[in-house]
Amino acid sequence: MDFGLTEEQKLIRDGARQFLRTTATGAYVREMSAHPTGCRPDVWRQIADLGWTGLIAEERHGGAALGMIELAIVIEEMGAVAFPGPFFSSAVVGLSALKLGGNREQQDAHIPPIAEGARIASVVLESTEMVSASRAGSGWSLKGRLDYVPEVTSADLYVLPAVESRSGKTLLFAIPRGTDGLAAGKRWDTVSHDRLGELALDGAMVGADCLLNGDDASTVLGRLRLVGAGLKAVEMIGGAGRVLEMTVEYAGKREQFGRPIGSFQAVQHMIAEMAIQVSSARHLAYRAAWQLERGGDAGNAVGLAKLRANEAAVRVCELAHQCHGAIGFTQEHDLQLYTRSAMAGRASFGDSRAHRDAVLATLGL
Amino acid sequence: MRFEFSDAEEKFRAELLEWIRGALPADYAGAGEDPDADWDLNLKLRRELARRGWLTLAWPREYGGRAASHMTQVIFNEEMGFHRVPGRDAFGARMLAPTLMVHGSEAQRKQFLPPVARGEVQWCQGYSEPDSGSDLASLQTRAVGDGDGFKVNGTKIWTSLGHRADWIFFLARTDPEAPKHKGISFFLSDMKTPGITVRPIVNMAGEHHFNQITFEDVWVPRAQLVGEINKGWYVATTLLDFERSGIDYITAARRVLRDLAEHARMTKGPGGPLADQADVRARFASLAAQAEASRILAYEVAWLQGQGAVPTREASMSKVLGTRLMNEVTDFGLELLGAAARLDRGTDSAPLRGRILRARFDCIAWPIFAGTNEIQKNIIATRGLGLPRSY
Repeated sequence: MDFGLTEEQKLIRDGARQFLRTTATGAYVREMSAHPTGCRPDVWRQIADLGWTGLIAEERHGGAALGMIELAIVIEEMGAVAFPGPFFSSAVVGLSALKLGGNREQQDAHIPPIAEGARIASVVLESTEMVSASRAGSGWSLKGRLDYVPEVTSADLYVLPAVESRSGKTLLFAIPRGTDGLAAGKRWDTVSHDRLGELALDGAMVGADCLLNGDDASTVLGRLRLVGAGLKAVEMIGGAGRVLEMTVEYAGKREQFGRPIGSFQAVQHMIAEMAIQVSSARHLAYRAAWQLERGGDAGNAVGLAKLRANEAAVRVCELAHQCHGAIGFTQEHDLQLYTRSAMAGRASFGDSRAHRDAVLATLGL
Repeated sequence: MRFEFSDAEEKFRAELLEWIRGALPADYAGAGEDPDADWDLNLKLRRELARRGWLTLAWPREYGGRAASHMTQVIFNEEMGFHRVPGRDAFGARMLAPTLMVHGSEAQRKQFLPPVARGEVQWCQGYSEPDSGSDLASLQTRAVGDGDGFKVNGTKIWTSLGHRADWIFFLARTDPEAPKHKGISFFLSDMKTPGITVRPIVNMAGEHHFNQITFEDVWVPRAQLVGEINKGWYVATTLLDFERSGIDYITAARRVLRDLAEHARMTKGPGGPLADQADVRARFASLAAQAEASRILAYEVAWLQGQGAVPTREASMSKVLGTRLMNEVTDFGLELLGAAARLDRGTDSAPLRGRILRARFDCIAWPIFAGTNEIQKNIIATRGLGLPRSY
């Protein structure tokens, strides 16, 4: 067991914290809620220059070739500022999809522009609807609708599953924006102002080179869901940790009855509970990242991490609201940004019910 | 970061598990069903642990220990707890011995450490008093200088295993004028000394675990004062560099959870096995995730200790998490047993040998002893997070 970070990992954490806390202020996060990509272009440029957009891409693709722990460290810091934008969709799930599902030519074509931040990828993993794929000449014709499409109006490359009309097998396609017959719907109004929406494919014709995993993509899709859920758990814990910090700070300065409210045991116990929730969920989240990095079955580790993060993140925000009183219920106070993120995080990449069976497998149930 | 044990640690775990399989009687129901009834087995296994060097696993080599890492100690405590193996010695080997290694005289170490290492003596702890619980430093038992020793008067309470103990280590006030933390001394006494009486206290589970101990003009020789006079508070709160991860609470909860999972698989409910019902699965999943989270936190405490840190905040968190989890798990267990939740171990048809009901009772005490969970939260808030103290 080793709960420590290497010197390089500490540098990554400190650098990420410093950049994000000065750049992504509450005002910035609010401003981005209506922005088309959720990330101001100059900030996205800086993120790319820091090497984050290509953090897990290989060096030959212009990436930093780092692993899931390093990615988790950056994502925890992003969670700590409720950082909006397409990073998660593109640099986490998008790159993972191409690394896991793409052949060499597809990787060479798609990964470098994503790694350098020039293009944004959207991977559809949570759709409640399905697209069917039929062979058409040397390529494919895709028909149907997808929902819960991330970065719906701003993605340059959509990675999406489709069911082969004859065999019933699941296939995975990478389709550029602008393909005929591919139409993005408008961005939905959501709890954390993310950029989800619907994508319609009306007999869109795509070439054979758009088919990512030739045979059956369900293994790749399963793995991508785990990557998404495991790192979402890390992001949620980053937010919860920051909410704890904010609350400690507030309870230390806010005075009632002539004393800081943080000196009252009723308040101390709520804050201690927040700390307990954060610590108990944080290790599971990092263990999930570690397991994903290591390979092998990560279903249990990710399930435990996401389920615990789902419970902890929302509980921490509830307690923070109670400690903040009325001011925490206002739009002007940053706390609501985190509460919204926690609620969105809980519902994404599998709510607690979705991870239940993986968790129960650890008990033989 | 690395979330797995080393090869050496896994090897130790395997060796321990092999011994455990052979050490327990075939029909053994497990400590906790009735610790007092398991007493002979407890003593027998303690001597076996001593022979294998596992009773003193954590002791430094100069005292005949194995100087095992904190992580190895966690593994030892985890497997012993999970398999409900009696024999470990909390008061002697884990608490008193390291205190003597730091504060005891050469003569005290020579006299008291070897019998503990051989597993031949039972110690008990005289800290709490009827009027001094969370505010322990307010204790009123008096020790007054008397020739080459002290005369002790007062009452200690909630003394676990007091009725089984050969010796007691205890705190008494030696300077009533000094500020409360600065007038306390740390003593050792033979339980057979005239003037010591032990009154059993039966807990709500019907078990005799703790006692009230009265000192009436009990003479304690000066040679049994540990450390300096009036410095007993510091002796008592010595940060013993032994495993303090709280793994025992968490392990107990994990074991009950596993037993319940098996029960739910084998038991028919309306429309199929209990284990297939959605509400049952939801509870199991949430508890399993909490259990696993708590377990990793306990490993972190051991890891921090191994790094030379004093993980006060993390240890308090681990205690709160583990004890609360055990209460939730056993309560869920009773819900799962339905009508049979009322059957105690004396009834042949009691599910899981009535163990869930026993455990449910036992763990009511856990958020209270060893520093209540509220005291632990005060520690987390003030020492851990820097909030202002309220008392």
